[in-house]
Amino acid sequence: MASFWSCPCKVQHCQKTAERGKAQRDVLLVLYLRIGGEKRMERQGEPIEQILERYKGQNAFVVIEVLSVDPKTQKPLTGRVLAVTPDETEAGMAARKAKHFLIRWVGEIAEVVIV
Amino acid sequence: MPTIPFDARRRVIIVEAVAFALDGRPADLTVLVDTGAVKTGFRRSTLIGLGIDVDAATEFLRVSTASGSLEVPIFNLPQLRVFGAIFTNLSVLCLPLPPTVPADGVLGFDVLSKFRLFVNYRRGIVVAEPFNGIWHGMRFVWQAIWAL
Repeated sequence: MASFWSCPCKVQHCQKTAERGKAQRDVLLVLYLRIGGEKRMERQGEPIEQILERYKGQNAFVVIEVLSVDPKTQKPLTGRVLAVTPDETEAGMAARKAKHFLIRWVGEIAEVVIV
Repeated sequence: MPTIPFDARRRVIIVEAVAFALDGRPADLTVLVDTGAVKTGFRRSTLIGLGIDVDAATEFLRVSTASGSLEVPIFNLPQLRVFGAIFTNLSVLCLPLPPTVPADGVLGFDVLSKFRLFVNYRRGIVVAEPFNGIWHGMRFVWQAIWAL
């Protein structure tokens, strides 16, 4: 039975051309899916907890641009890192570039807090 | 959302809030519920991120803390959303909080006094309901009973 890509004329050269065409289409499809997937990842970012875990213990402020939020609770879900710096002013300036941001300290936490 | 969980193991009440810049950009914050603080304040990085020029303050306030007295600048925060309520043009302090304090700011009396508050430290639950009439009062009692 002729496949979807093969030519109905049954001539050998025609079938070969059809097979080549199918292979090319397969390559294009894989490329399309891969590039599309990377773009989606870029747009959606990385889970925020995962980002903070990666920088844990660095005694710095991590500035994150929030890329997606939980539709129910509005809590930030994913984002991308804009800056990692121990300087508060620098962290604030980096946050200005984001449409939606959060800044978290990833260093040691005070055992006793009296404010 | 009047019932808010917090991590009681941290031995401080830290809740989430959202502050908005003048152009509407939101910032997700963690804030300390500090019943001993008179005014609400945020750290420098947060205010800068919201587009406020912290070095151009015209108004200052002398505050007394556990570690001494200091003068801090006052700014106008366009919008703050906390415990489900929205505060607009809130006067806030720029606090020199050490980085080791696990929060972006402090909720003081000026904000907390707008709510009925109930805290269950053992379960790590805060019930906060604004003073908005009898319906909210009843809802607060109902939520507090559930949080017992």
